[in-house]
Amino acid sequence: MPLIMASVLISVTVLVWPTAGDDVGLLGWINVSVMLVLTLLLLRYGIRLLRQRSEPRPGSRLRAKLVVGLVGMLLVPAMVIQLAASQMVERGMDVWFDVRVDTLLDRALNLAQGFYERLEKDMKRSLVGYVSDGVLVAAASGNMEYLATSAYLAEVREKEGWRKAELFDINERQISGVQVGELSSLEPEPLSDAARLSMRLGRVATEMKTGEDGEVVVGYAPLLAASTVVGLLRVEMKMPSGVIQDARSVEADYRNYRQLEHNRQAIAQTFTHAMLFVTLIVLVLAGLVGLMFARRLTAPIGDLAHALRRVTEGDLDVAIIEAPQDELGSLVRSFNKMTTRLKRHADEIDQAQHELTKALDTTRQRQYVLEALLANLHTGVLLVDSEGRVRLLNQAVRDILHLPASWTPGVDLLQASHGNLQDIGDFYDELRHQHEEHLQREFDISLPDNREVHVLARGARLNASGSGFTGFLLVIDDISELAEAQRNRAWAEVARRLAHEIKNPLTPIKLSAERLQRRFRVQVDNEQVFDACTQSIIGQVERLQRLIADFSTLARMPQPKLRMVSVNLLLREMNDLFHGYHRVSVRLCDEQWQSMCDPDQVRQVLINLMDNAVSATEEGQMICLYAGLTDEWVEWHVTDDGAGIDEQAAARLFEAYYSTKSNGSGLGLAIAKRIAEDHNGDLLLVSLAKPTHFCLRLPRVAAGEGA
Amino acid sequence: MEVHVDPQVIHCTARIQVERQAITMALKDGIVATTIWHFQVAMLREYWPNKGIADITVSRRVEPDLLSRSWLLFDDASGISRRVYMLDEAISFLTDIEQFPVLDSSLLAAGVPYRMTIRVEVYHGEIKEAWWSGIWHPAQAVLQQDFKLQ
Repeated sequence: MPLIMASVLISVTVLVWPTAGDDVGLLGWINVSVMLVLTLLLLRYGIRLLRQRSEPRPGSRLRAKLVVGLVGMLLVPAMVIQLAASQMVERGMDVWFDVRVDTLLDRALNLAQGFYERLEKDMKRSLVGYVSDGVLVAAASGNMEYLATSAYLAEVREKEGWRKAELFDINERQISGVQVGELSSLEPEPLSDAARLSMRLGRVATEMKTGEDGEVVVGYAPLLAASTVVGLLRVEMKMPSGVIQDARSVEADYRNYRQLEHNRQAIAQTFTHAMLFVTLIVLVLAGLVGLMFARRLTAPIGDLAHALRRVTEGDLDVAIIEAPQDELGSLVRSFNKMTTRLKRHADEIDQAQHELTKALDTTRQRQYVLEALLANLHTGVLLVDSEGRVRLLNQAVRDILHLPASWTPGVDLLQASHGNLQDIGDFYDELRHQHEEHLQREFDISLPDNREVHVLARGARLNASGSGFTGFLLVIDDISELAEAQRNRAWAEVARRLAHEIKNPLTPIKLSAERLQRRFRVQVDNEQVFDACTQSIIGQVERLQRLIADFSTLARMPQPKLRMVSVNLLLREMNDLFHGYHRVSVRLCDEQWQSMCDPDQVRQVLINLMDNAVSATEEGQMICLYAGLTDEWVEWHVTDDGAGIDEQAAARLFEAYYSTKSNGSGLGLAIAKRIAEDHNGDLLLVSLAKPTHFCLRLPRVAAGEGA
Repeated sequence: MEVHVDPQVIHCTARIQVERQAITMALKDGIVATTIWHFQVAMLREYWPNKGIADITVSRRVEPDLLSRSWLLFDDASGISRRVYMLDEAISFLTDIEQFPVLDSSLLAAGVPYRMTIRVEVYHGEIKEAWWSGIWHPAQAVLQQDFKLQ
């Protein structure tokens, strides 16, 4: 709205802008200036409102509407009055300058002019009679006495009713003069241009003069003697003051009328601008009053809007102090009560939220502790609710049982326990159907990588007494290594006892067989059969002795004596040992490679691996021994092109007393693996066939050993 | 406009063509007409405003006498007045300046460029004595001519 008003105002400004021909004076420019200032103020106000369109200042729009409304209410009648006044002025001008008035003034002026002309004509007619007057010609020629001349002049003046009569000779010297009144008032006056012209042309002339005592008609009559100008008669006649005054009044009125008519357009414009100036002043005053009124009215509303915005933004510490004693004041007081109540409620909510947050933090803390505990446990934990759904399971149980991804909280335990996990489901089923509170079982579970893990499962029933939770807790432990250790220990004990019980009689048996061979060989009938029998006894005894030695070794495996050993040294020893086999190839390595190990035990492992390879191959097939080095490990690799190892045998390859060879004890690889593990290393079956590949991996010693 | 440079006095002859019709109409209707001639002589300067040398104002007024069909000519600067009975003479009195002495030549330097500017204001009717009456009255004619002393 302010912008529309500004555009209207600028249009009006352009319309009333003074042009070069206008004679509007200062008022017109004042109006234009006021309108331009008002236009600028309205433009600024409108632009400010536009900028605040998205987020107006509280109360600004209401204030603008009030001011614009008030000014608009005044603007319309003011413009109507302005137009009506302009029309009235135009009509008034037409009445003032009516043609009848014009004619009347013209006639009045003509009358006045006619009176003047009549006076002049009368004077000229009178003067014509004296042009050739003998007395006056004689006097002008110097042929007459002064007194007689003056007397004649006085007689003529008296006769014609002139006020003054003077006689001049050809040289413009005054010869005589008479006038009404005292002689002392007679003052000689030089001849005017009209008088000289009259003498030069020889014609009677008149002219008007305005003196201190009024207007006079001055007449000039040249004195002729035989067609020659010899002098000049100058006379004055005072015009009748009453008539002259009227005539001059007519002239003044005529002049004023013509002046007004001449300035008719300027008068109309001046009146219009005066009206416009008054209108503008009224509008400015109305705008100011409206602005003050609007400010007074909208201030509480603005405060309310501002306070409401602060409340919306969450600031409840807001109160409006000044409240007028009207409906707005009542609104303000109600608002203050509302904010006070809101603040009280918000404080109560904050307090409750704080307590809830604190409790939640405690709960979360406990949960974090529990989750951390479960995550760091090496024991698998499964929490199952009363409906058989898993509520919680830790990473350890996933690692131990190699649980599939479908095992997540919420899964039904019985439905998920199928295949190799059937025992878990059976254990849970037994636990929930038994009357006892606890259950413990051991069973083997086949893993997807063909390994078997021996687990100890313990279960407990959880009642709702303390925590409000009813269900079952399953704890799963991988006791494979424990079981194997127990088994190894049992076997070691068996081996120790067997060695003790069997080893002692073997030596006398062997010695007796050798003695029998030496003493009774010549006495028997069939030496060949005798030799074969005794050699068989001796051979089997020696085999039993080796077996017993292996049992002893397994039973009393000594701790490795670690020292820095050259990797290449062990390779060269193997090369020397097996160089008789053409299919054996030993690749030496860098002399700088070293390993912290017990060389005797490592040598034993390498011999075992090479022996197995030689046994598994025939001529034409290759056996290769070489070393490798990584950042952490030193590795000895043995490969062969033999028939390879089937998967079933591979699974039990490192078990004690398991052998695929008819005469093997089944302890070689078990001892070799035991040695590797005692060195914190490992013995690995890298590939089953083509080639069959074993790797002995031992920790390397860092620093200064080269890459 | 024409500037006459005499050894002693700088004269000026000028005539305005504008407003002659309006002046004739006013005088015939008995309305007083006045012309005010502002003479300014300034020394021309290139980078600074011109330096003023002289500033003279001449006011000429003609009062019609409708009764006697004559016109009274007033030179307000000199106080001389005379009556004429020819309208053309009265108009020429207002619109023409003949050999008007503007300033003494001794005030000017030889060879220096000067500029004479004449601003003529024409008034119809009595001139109001109020101070604001002349504020917005623009000059009806502005004449300029540059000259030098030899």
